[in-house]
Amino acid sequence: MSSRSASASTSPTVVAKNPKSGVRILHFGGRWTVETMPEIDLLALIPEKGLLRLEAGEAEAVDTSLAMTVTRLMEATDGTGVKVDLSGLPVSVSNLVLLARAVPEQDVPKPETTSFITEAGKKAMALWTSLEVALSFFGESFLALGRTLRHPKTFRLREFLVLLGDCGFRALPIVSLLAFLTGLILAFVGAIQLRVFGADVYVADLVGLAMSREMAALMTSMIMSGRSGAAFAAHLGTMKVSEEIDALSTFGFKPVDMLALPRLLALTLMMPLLTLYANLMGYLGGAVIGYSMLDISYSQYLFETQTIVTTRDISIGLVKSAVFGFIIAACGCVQGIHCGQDAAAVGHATTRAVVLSITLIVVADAVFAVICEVLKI
Amino acid sequence: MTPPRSSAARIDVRNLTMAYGSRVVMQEMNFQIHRGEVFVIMGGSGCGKSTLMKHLIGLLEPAEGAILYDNVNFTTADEDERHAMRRSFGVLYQAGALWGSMTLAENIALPLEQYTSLSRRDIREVASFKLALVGLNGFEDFYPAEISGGMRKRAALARAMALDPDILFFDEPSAGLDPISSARLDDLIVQLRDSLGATIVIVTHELASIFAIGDRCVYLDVESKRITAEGHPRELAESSDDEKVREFLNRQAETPADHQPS
Ligand SMILES: Nc1ncnc2c1ncn2[C@@H]1O[C@H](COP(=O)(O)OP(=O)(O)OP(=O)(O)O)[C@@H](O)[C@H]1O
Ligand SMILES: [Mg+2]
Repeated sequence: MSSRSASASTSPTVVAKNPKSGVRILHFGGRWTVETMPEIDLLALIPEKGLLRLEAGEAEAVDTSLAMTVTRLMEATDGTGVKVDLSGLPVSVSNLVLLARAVPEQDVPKPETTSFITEAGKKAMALWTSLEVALSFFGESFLALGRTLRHPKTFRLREFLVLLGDCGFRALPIVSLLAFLTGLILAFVGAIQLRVFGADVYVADLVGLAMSREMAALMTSMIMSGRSGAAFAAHLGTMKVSEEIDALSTFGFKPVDMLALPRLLALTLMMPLLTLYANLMGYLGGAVIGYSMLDISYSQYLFETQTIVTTRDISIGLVKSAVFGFIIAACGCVQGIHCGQDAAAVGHATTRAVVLSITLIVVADAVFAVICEVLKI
Repeated sequence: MTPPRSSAARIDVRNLTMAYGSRVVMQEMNFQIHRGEVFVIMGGSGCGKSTLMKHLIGLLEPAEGAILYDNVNFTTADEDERHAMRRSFGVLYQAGALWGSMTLAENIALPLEQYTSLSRRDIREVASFKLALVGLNGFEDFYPAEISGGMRKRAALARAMALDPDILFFDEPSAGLDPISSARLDDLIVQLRDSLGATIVIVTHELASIFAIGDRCVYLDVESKRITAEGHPRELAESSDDEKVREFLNRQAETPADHQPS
């Protein structure tokens, strides 16, 4: 046998020798560092049986890479009947090797290798469980409301007020901007079409009805699910990871009562108010287009809006928005409370909360459309 | 037909097997914890001590077996019964688990507000007193994020004692504390036991604490996944049948020096 690698004096080398039968010597030379680990198939140098003697000069052992290589070699010889002799290695290396091997083997669970069908089955089961979790949360939150009404002392008013602020006036700037722009866009699109028929003034009808019945509630709920829903999921998820939720339940507090209920109430209460405000901002956006593009005066625009938009239209929007608010808060809280155990899980919980709430909002909106159609309202 | 209380075990663990999914952590555990005892759970890192504690307080469900408090089965109890039983628990988590959105005083006040009819001022005073017990007077209005790791641990201890619980569970209370604070903590634990008659269950590796305050201990062995020793720490250190337990309690490890290459 001969040297496998001996390019430069600084690069690591392994020389294999067979001084007598049944004995193989591997001599490690050159500089052994993590950056210069040689690409040699050392395992091919292990004899079938007999004695494997490892040697190295004192100067070559630069960092833990030699110890690592030796440990790998020894692991490969475990149970093959090859005896490994470390006495030719510097003491610093052989001690590291012994230390690395002194840790008792624990039964680390092997990552399961599964087939496509098992995976699909598991996913389906997971879907089913998450549905169960959502339903039981739904029921639990109503029970929590009942319990809190019976024992109002347990309700944490101060925290609730902070939440009201978070879900309420702190969202006003962004709601203003988006609702104003929504009204503007609706009016702009409508103006182009209506001008063809000389029906300019009906822009106010279009914007008024669309905002009141649909767009104000939808836009506000999109904003709030990105704002509050995500915040709820991230906050509760972090509490879960740091065992704060466990700490609540060992004090006999129910996490749903303490954490979810105030959030559900806060968002369900504040959403209609925000939506009402979004309506006004939307009308304003429409009026700006009406004035600048179609020469409709502000008072004319307001009068037209008043004649067409009824309290019923506005109420439909407000009822919807309360339901959407509940959906957003519920998704955020469920995902947060049932979050996994690490930082990545908090991220997943937040994403799921937002995606799930937006999906459910659109579905709920469709259901509302059908109901309104059937009831002719 | 329950036997007289004094003779009954406060906590009775029967044939408990703990598992995460299909992976068994410990199996067939049997031990009893008596009223007014300082009971130590020890074992190597990752052997399942925190897991055992979570089973005892009902955060995890046993794969098999049961846990009884005063002869009442906690494992089969329904959620409301469990809540009632948990009222007498105080728990210190390994990582503290203080509620991050509240100040230290509010952390201690929360259980008091919910379960007592004390006035706001009295609650504040109780909170200050509990913080003083762990050497944190003056930190009432700090948030958990504003204090050091060791201080957080002590504050969490103060919270665990908020309701003067009957059973205290401590997961590594002295980890992260300096020697003086941890000796003080040992004193505090003995005081709690003596003055309140509390039962104390501690997970700890601190040999000094184990010998200073432990009345009885169990050793969880990773390899056999069983309890391999139970008894008074000093007796176990001297005369346990199990070599690993003696090594643990006498702070020895198989070092590379023991088997130098020839
Ligand atoms: N949530 C979990 N899911 C799956 N396995 C877990 C989980 N938590 C812990 N384990 C596993 O259970 C075993 C016991 O963990 P545990 O936290 O109880 O150890 P410990 O004895 O408290 O250790 P330490 O002294 O380091 O705190 C470990 O091997 C760990 O890998
Ligand atoms: Mg632990």
